[in-house]
Amino acid sequence: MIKLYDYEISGNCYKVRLLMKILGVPFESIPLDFYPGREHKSDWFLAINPLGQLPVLVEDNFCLRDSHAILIYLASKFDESKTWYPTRDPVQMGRVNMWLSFADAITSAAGAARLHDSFFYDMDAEQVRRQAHRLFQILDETLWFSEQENDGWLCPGVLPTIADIACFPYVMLSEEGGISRLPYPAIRRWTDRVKKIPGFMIMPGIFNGPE
Amino acid sequence: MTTEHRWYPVCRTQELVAGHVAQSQILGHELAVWRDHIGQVHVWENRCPHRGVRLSIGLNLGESLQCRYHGWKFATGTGQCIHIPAHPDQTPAENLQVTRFRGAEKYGLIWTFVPLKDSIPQMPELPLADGITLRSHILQAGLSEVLDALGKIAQPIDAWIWRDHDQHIPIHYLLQPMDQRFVAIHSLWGGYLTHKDWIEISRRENARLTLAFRSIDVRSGITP
Ligand code: FES
Repeated sequence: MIKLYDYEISGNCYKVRLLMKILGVPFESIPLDFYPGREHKSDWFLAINPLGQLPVLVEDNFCLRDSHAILIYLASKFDESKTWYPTRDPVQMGRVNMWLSFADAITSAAGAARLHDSFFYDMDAEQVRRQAHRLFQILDETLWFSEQENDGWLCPGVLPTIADIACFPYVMLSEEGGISRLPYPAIRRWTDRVKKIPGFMIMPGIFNGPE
Repeated sequence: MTTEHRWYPVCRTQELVAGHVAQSQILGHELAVWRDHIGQVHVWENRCPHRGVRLSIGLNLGESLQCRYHGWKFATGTGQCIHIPAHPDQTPAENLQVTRFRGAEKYGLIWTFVPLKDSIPQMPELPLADGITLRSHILQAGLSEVLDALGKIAQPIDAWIWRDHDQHIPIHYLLQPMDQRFVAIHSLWGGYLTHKDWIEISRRENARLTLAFRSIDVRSGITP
């Protein structure tokens, strides 16, 4: 069985759990004491991931770090429809990869602001908040046009991809980092859509959506 | 900010999709805006009468809006609390009501006003039968900065309604003063458009407005 080194209120861990739930992949969660215990920086965990970051997926002797690498692996292996990560469609796959990088930027901005406000990390919080707003402007504009021309997902098409899953958590948790979503109505509608994906599940700070 | 007793737009009607609760703001009042099961639009204070949680993170159940926190339900129309999950057999007290604002739908937009006087203000008259809205822009800036930037592409009809300088671009820009930090601008196209033309014009005008307002983003540090 797949094991996931996990932390309940990490957005990056949550996106992996969310995709496994949607795809119906059973797994065992191994929770770490991230805060305040800093177990992800402990000697035993650094032997598993020298970067000291969560999540890490372990399956038999295969070990994978980086939430987006894990999303790609899971979708490629367990999604027979090949829509979540469209390996058969190079154009769409290129788009998904582009948004995965964008999701990393969201983590470094909105996710970082949350670490500052809720976990007392030392950083220039105003700087990362401004960066988050810039990214959210781009996201809102993309989603607004996607609603008109497509089905309102990040990549054109009628179905969501792992790009939506990757961007979702730190957008939803942005207010814990002092970043309001009031100026981003198209983002707010998109988060409603993500919550309606069959198999959707919550984490602390992210609630269920309308039925 | 302003003490004018008048209607302001709060969002495009198209934004009120089924099951959604839109979040908006007018003159410092945060709003939860939603469409109920029979299509009626409600503009409510974005504040649960129980513990003040934002209703915009709640659930639009069609006949009621349910607060996210303890699940109280508030009836469409009156805003009256009709259900408290912790006391399912009790009838909630009559004073448990959401504060409501009067709402209206016109020109493809949802409108409201903050009652500063007893009367209902006149709805602004535009030379349009109805309106086709393009993408709205919500700017992180004070009103004077926004008006400076808007002046590059448009001229005022009154303080809150502007018209494009270019005669060939039949767009009115309607301002929504949100609070000290945010101003929204809604673009209203006069005349008929096919869906295809509408998308094309939306893209073109979106790019033009983004450019016109880039100076604002730069000043607030939100730069590409
Ligand atoms: S705060 Fe809304 S039900 Fe308690």
